[in-house]
Amino acid sequence: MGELEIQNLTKVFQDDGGDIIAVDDLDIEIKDGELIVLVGPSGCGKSTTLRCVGGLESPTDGDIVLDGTAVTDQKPKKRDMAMVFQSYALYPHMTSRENMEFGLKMATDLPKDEIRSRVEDTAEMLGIPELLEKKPEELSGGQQQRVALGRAIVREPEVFLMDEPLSNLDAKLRTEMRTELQKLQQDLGVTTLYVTHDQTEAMTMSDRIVVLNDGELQQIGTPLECYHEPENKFVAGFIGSPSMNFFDVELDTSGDGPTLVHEGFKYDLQEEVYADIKGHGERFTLGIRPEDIKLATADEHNAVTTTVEVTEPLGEVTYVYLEIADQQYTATLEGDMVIETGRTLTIRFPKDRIHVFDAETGEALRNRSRPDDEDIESLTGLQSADSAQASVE
Amino acid sequence: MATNTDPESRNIAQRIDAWLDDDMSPRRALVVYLVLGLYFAFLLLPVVYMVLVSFTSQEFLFSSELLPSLGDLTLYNYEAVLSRGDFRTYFVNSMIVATSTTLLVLTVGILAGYSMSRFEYPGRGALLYAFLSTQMLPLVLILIPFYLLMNSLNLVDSLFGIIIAHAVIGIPLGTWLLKGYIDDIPESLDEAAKMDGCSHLSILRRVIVPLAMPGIAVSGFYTFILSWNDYLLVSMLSQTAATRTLPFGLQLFQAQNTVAWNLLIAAAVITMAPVILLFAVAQRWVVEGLASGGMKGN
Repeated sequence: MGELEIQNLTKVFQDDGGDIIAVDDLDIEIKDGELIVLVGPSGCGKSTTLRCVGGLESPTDGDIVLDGTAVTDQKPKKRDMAMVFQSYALYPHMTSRENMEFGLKMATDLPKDEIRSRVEDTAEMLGIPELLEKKPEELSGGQQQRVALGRAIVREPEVFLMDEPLSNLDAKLRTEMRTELQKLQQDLGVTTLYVTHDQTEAMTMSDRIVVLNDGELQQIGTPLECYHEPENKFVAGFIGSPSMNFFDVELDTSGDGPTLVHEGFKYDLQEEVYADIKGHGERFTLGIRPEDIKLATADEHNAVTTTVEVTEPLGEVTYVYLEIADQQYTATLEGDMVIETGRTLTIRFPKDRIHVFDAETGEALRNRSRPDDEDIESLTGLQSADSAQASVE
Repeated sequence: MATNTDPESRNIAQRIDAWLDDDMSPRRALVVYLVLGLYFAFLLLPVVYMVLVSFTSQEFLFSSELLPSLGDLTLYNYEAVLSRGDFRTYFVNSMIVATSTTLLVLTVGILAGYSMSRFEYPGRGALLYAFLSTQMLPLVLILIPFYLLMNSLNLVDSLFGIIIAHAVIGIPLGTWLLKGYIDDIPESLDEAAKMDGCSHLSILRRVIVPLAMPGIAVSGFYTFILSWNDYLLVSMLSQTAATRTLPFGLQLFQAQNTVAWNLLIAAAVITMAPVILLFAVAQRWVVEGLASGGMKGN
């Protein structure tokens, strides 16, 4: 079992300039075998949270509970957790084998034979038996990473703690290791708390994402929940790349229907959107993801006229940076669209794709509609029809 | 190479600079080796000559010959020096004092250096500067108060007193040096060891000490030499032959009007030998430690 609870965790650091609240009243419940990713910008408290769980920092307040027992005051070795560090932290004076054996020797009473066979089995599983007699300085970054992983796995802990373990690898290796790590975690079924600032890792690897900012919990949810139904403007802006576009708008109800007024355009609201935001004042933030922006004709309803500033063709898609009322926004268009810099482009924000946030609190008042079951069914139906046609051809 | 490629317009400094940067030039290599050769000749020739003439007689020393022939060589000087009971006592005393001082300084230095490198506590900074400030006073200045203090502690004329005195001089620099080396060991290794089940002391023993070996070798070597060569403190604290050390022992061969040069030189070689042997053993770490300034970890 490896059910982990972080209860009201608060960590305050003392500094010359006063107290710094690194983690503020954080509550997370992690199920046995779940992979939870803590994500957020630098200094958001994610690593501090991980270190408090591992016992490397003492919480100022709150509890860490593992399988119903509070381990807050226990030393790291008593917690049955293993950690993979960003720098791998392999002992430079020991071989890979000694690195992997070290924890078992220090924390358990296992006989030598048992330690030896466990290290060899783990090395086999990770495909590194030939590296066992080498010292860290003789290994490449990827190999060091595997040994560091092996050192954690060989302990057979209840919980894995991983502090940005892939951030020192090159892009290709990182993608490979991401998949491998995820598969390994599923095979081993060990509860994992994973810290990263890379939202691609967060989105692809996690069962659930915990988004933190300034030490405060912003949202816990599955990757797609956080993407499609962000609870606030911070999560909406942080999850997704390129980031969501935000427009400062004011509600105008003086005309025919409710309208959001921006310096560069007006956006007529549908009744159901208006119902969600009514009573929250007059100032809002309108949000739309770059990939949800569509091209439009000038006479279309809610069309917005923009100027193209820069285009970044990536092959599959093209990022187009648009200027609206002296501010820059991003649209993701199809890769084969070649758009000249400086030309005028008319776009629209589909009504079922917009998000509206309270301008004061940042709270999400209205999120885009998620693809419902019918949409998915129609898509899969379409796909099977396509493949049927392909087979006929 | 200098940035300006026109030889006419370059000033002398630029030309020397360019010449020094040109590491392919055999002429430059020749000059560098010549200068180094002269330097080492100046430094080492007297030592080599001292070792050589330590195997000759007093008569040869006062003859007009510069180099001894095979027939002039004799082991008599060493026999005479080593057969003196008091000299042997001084040698043993020196060994006890220098080894104990080194062990004491390393033990305190490693613990203090680790604590100052890894833990935050009130007065840590002040303590570091206090250590440094002890190095700013010439030893002679504190000699009398130091003697009074040692006297009141009943530590005069005992080997233990000399060990303590040498440790007092060696600990500040040893701690500073070791703190520097330990600072260079990434703290994530301590944390990894903590997660692996180590206590602070076992982190120190199993991770920090092996990685700080070059620094420990440098501190140990420095302390050993400091203690082995000390004359001032020993001359103050040692009151009888039972507590004297080797530098003091060299006086044995000087009478009021005569000096037994042959014996004195042999005694000087014996005094010098352990330090050279120690360097030969610890050389790998000492050179690495001096060159790298510490272990960089991963």
